Amino acid sequence: MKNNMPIQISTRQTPIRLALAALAVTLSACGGPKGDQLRTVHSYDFASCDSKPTTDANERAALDAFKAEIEPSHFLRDRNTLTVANHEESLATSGLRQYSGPFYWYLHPGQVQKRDAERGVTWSGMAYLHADKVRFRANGGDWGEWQRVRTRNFGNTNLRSADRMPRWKCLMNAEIAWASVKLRNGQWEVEPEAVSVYETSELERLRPLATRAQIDGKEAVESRHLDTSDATSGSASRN
Amino acid sequence: MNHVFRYVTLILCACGLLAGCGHKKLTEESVRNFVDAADEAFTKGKVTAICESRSDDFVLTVTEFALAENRIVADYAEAQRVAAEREAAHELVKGKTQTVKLKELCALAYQSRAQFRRTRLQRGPLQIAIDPDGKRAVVRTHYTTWEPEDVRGDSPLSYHDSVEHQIATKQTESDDESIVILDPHGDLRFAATTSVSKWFRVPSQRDSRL
Repeated sequence: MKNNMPIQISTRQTPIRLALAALAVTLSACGGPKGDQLRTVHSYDFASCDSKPTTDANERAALDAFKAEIEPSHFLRDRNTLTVANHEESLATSGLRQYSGPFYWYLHPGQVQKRDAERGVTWSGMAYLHADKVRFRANGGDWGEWQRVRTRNFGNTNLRSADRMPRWKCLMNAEIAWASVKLRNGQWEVEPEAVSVYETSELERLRPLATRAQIDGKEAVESRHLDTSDATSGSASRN
Repeated sequence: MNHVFRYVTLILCACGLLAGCGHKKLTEESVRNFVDAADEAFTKGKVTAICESRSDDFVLTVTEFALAENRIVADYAEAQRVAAEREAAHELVKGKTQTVKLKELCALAYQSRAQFRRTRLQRGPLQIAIDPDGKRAVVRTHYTTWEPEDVRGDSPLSYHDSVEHQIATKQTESDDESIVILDPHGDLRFAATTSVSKWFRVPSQRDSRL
């Protein structure tokens, strides 16, 4: 019966409605990125790993502090990309690394350690910025293919197989920056542990920041010499 | 109808048997394509393809030399200098030889598939020598591979977790010789590979997925 019903057409309104509908579909399909997501990981346990949009004022302030420290001082932001300069030892290996969104800013609240509490810390946690894909362009070369970002924190290859990935189920994409975030005497303190491919000892390789001219291929990313001979010796204490 | 179907089936089977019984011959192009596909299967960590490209009685023999252990060198030339200095000081740079059969190779490939995907491979020119009957080929080439060497450090999230830290890139220079054959179905397979590898560590090369 339904299929046999005549379709009532209002000749004046339909083109406008159709145009609006088409516009809405177009906008939703290619209207660009969703805004950045701010999420708090409430549980990081095997069975109940869970993250929700951040609503708590303190947690939002922690993520704001992380974002303010990480984004403007390391990345050049475009609509749906974050670009970093990679100043390597040689010009040939230096270049730009670009990350695509949607971007997730995750907060993992932690416990305040006794030592920190004695120094006025009232809140402590870790914050992570996750991106979807990454590509690299060395000076004078072409952009590589977009590839999924690989996790360095949540793969847990040293755990038994049943416990390897489930924690990741509450997280989207993979981390491109992370930092310790503490509230000490009413001030937020953010200590970056890694940004892009670099850990703390090499963060200087991200500066100076990427420029539009470099993105357009009109300028090269300068090389940079860092003495990192002891860079990794103290960071890997396990295994 | 049934008779027709039977005849068609018989003819198809006969064609298949003939193809498998040696009417198909190896060519330089087919061997090159086969090696290309095998290299791609390795860098993409495709374990099934890695195993299927080898015969049931496949044997891999690897002799491995560590040129400059416990240090990071700039490149192959420096690694060779270090090895030469060690030999001059009467320190033996001894190779370790291992023999791996198909089953073990497949198990190793499965365990290492994620690492294969992070490995960059560069192949030198292929030298292909095909037997006159076209059933067997010897393929020689030089490979250079770069793979990340990581350690896992403590994570601030929990004692269950850990953070990956890359400490170096392992570069391996290998001279490989493989025997390629046609299997009974007329498909190409590696029957054996002998590899002489020299490895050393170079400064960390950045992971393209970070």
